[in-house]
Amino acid sequence: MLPPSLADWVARQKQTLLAVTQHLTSFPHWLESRWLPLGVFALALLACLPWLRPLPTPRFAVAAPLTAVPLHHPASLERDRLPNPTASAHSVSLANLEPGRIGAAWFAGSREGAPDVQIFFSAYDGHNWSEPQAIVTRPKMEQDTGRLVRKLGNPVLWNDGDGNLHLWFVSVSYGGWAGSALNHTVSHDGGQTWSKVQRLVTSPFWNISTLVRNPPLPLADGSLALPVYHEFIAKRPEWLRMTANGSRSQVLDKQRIVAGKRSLQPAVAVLNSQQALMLLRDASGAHRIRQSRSEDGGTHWSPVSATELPNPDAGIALLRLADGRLLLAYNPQEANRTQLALSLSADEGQSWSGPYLVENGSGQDEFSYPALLQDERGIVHLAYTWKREHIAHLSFHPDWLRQLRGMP
Amino acid sequence: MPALFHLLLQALLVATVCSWLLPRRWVWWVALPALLSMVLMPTVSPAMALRGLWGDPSVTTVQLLALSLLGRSPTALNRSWAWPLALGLLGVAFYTLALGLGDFDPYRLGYQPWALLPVLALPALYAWWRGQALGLWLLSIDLLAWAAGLPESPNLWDTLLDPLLVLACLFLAVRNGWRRHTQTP
Repeated sequence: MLPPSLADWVARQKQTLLAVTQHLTSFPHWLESRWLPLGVFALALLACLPWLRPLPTPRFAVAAPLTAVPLHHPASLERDRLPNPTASAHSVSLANLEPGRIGAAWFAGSREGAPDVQIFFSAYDGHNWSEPQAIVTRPKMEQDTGRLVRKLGNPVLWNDGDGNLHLWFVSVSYGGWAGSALNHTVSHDGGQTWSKVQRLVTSPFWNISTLVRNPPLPLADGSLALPVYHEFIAKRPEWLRMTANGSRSQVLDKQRIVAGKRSLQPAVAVLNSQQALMLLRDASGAHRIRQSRSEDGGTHWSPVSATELPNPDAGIALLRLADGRLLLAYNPQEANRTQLALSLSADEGQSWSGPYLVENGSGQDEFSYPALLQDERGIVHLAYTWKREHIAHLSFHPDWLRQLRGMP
Repeated sequence: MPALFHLLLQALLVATVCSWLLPRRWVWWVALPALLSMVLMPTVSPAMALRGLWGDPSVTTVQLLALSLLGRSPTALNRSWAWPLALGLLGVAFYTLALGLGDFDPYRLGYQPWALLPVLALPALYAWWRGQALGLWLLSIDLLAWAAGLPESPNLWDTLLDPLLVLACLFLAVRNGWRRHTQTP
């Protein structure tokens, strides 16, 4: 039993609470006006008008010619490895920094998908790689995006040429990689510090299943196109058009590539301001790299079809060299990832040279997930996962490719 | 928008679901689980875990949650079985296509939604003309929020609906249909 004074006080508070509840849950009379919702709707339409303008017709931004490479550069293959502070490393991406330097980002931890996986960054000055720096961790992701994050993966680095180094990567809150969401962060100081991570919404079903693996392509209007893929239920390539100004990135459009079911990880090379070639990892069981082409700046893509190039359901890298040839890095096998090879095309991907093996292992060896880059001096860089233990790096002069048998 | 605002939406969701389990006169007690959902345990709060699971609720869902919390749930959803069923089935068709059933992706229409607006506005205006203003109110507030950039997603579809809303519609269709069936002599 409560003392009478306390019982009175409780009763009074209850009355007050009920009165407040009734007041808050009763709408003002003017809200029931017949014409008010129509007026608010007209206002809403007016507010939406600026966002309803159609996007400008896209054209690819074509890279400026490179400066000549000094003659004293060795016309041979140079090999080294990126320092890795953890037991496992995978999925490297390369980007140009200031002249003479390139950067690499990859994910590493005790194993793929483990909670301790972080995204690392290292810079190469032409001789050595810098000490790797963890640039994205799970606690940072959770703080920046305000949600639980279980794993990180697939970083993609890109320099926009205006002093901004962009990083896209995937994160998973629940489930496997098919539940990935896309994220974006930017460095304005060559990879030393990074902006707050922004999670991009690209899918209507709890924003799951948009993944990225290969770098974006700049468009002439200042926006960019990012080749991505979907994995949940059906694997499909997709094409995001987006802006990435300052530290913010915004998706403008998303296109599903026609007849692309069971292909993923699109790698795209721009051929000119209108034409591009997309090559895809094959998950259909046909074990052939698949392709699609655009003739109108990426507005439309041809139905995906198979090439003659083998593919063991593994990632590929595609690069248009400054001299116009296309360079492809891939596993030239149908069943495993024990070999990694380069092939060249001098006719915009109509035909490819025989594979030149840069790795030839056996058993359970894995050499996979290549990344290609031509730096500002013209040197070509290839980086890839080496037995999941570290990231290997090869660099060579483009003329070195001419010495290889069967290369155009 | 700051993450705190979006976490408060998860707290609103928690509060509304709890309000369905409590007698009306105790409705203010829902503030307790809503507040608890914002507490870090130890590094991630329940609201962050929920946000990681299903993202932000759509603006339509937020409006309906607020109406429910205020005891003003729309009759069309609370009593009828046909409206929730129609909305639920449209949602299922939309998500099935958007998740990759075929080459057509209806989600794309939400980025430059000039074609989507008439499809949404005509039924809402018709219902308003017939004296049901709720749809027009919901759509107008959705559009105002989208134009102001309040939702995390730039795609209008994510402002209009979300999977939880579709699931709720299907649940209401079954519940209301069952009630009508059992109450009919």
